[in-house]
Amino acid sequence: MQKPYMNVAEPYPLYDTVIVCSELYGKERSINGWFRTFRDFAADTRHTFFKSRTAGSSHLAYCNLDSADNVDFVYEAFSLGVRFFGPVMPDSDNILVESPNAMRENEHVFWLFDLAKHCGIDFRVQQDVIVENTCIACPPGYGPRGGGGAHPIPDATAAFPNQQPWKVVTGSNGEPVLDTRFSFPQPIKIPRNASIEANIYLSSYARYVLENLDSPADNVYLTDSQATQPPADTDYFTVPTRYGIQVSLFGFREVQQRGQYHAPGAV
Amino acid sequence: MKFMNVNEQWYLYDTVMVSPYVDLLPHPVSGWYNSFAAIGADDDITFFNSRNKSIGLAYNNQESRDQIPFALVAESLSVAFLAPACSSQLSDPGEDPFGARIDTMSSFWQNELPQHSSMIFRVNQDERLKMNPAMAPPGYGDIGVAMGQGDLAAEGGGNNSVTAGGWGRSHGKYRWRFPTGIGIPRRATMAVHVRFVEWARTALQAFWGPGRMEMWNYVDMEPPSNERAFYHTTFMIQVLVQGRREVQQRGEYHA
Repeated sequence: MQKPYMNVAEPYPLYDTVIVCSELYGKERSINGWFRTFRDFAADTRHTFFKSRTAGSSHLAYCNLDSADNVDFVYEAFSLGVRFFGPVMPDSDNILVESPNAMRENEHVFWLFDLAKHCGIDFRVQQDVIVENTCIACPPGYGPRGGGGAHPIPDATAAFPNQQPWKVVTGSNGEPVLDTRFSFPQPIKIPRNASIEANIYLSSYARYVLENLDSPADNVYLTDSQATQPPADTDYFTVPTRYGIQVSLFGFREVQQRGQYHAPGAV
Repeated sequence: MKFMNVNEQWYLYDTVMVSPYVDLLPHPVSGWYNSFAAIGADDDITFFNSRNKSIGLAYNNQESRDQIPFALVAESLSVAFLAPACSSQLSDPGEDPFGARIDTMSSFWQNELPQHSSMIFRVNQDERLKMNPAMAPPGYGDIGVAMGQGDLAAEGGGNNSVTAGGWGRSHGKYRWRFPTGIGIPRRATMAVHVRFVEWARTALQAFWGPGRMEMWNYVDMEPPSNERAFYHTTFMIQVLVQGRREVQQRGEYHA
């Protein structure tokens, strides 16, 4: 007898993100576990993923869960990864002409490359701990790899100081290829409506560095008016830098078979 | 009722830290060092027999400091020399000798030191691997590129250097493999010993540092302000054994 329906597996990620940014926009202001300063971020020793945010409450760029604390479908997890991301330029204040030494050259470097060495991660399905690892050995398998070059700001008092090339830093934790993640050779089968959870634990050293920092600050960009005349102090256009940690599961979800997409005559 | 053991992917790791930050910890961690000179003075740096995960999950995930709490089949092993990406090593103008700065320590630690070291991997009393740790790259760690010199302003300009990358390639398949696996019984002891050659030890004992990295602190005043702050950097050696541990079958997660 033919079954009334048939499940099929399709590749699907599950991911959730913590953001640290001085400016949160719209509904972002009410998201659990997002922060405006490194100080607030470091005040929590544990940051939880897959427990409080959804695609609706945050944004699909950062989270694709439909339910905040349940897996909405049968899921077979093949790998886990954690990605630390941040701006490619140093943070700075919007006072570059007056105080160029306010460039924070190390904050994003620390976040991109060093923080993962000082964080641990666990991953749980229901009450079972499946992974306990250091974040640096849980690479995401995706992210930037290349780099770009520029000369420094040689004289911030000259005309158009804001148009001098800046220092650029790009990189990631691990090679950005999909098989560099923490893999589950025997995939973890997660039933529908099961709860899952990942926690990132900051070491005391990570909190020692982050708990007093002034950043995240801003990146300075060029506008049309600045391109044609020396900018006054108020002319700068700045964008708040956005730091984040994204935990992702890669695997297959089971869904009911989709509509018949076979082209006529193909069979 | 019978139970059934199953294999699951597991990483077992332990870390040695070298940093003046160690002196700020309320409780000293066994086998951690507060200076290059201190680690250079030690002839035997050991892993998996003196710490457990109470030092922080970032650095160790052992339940027991000197026994393996589950049967483990070790499939690969690595020794990672981890150095700060914020690689301008500075002194704190307020405390240390003013003006000290060196930018090459991260590169030395990550790229030169592994070549002048040895390692022994021991399970109970059996030595299973003796070699140069340069042959056991971690297969994980940061990759990246930094270009441009940053802030060259005469007044406190940082111009900080960046060192992103490490020994080997950050891909999990580039590790030292045990093709047939090494079976480690439950409650066995396991240890990795790392030793530096005399050349490296002599150099380390004379080095200044580790130094500090420049950050910017928030100053709570009206209007809010900020000030330069100098935080200790950390140099680490991390040994990681990848394999399968045997655990009793978990709850019925069959989809």
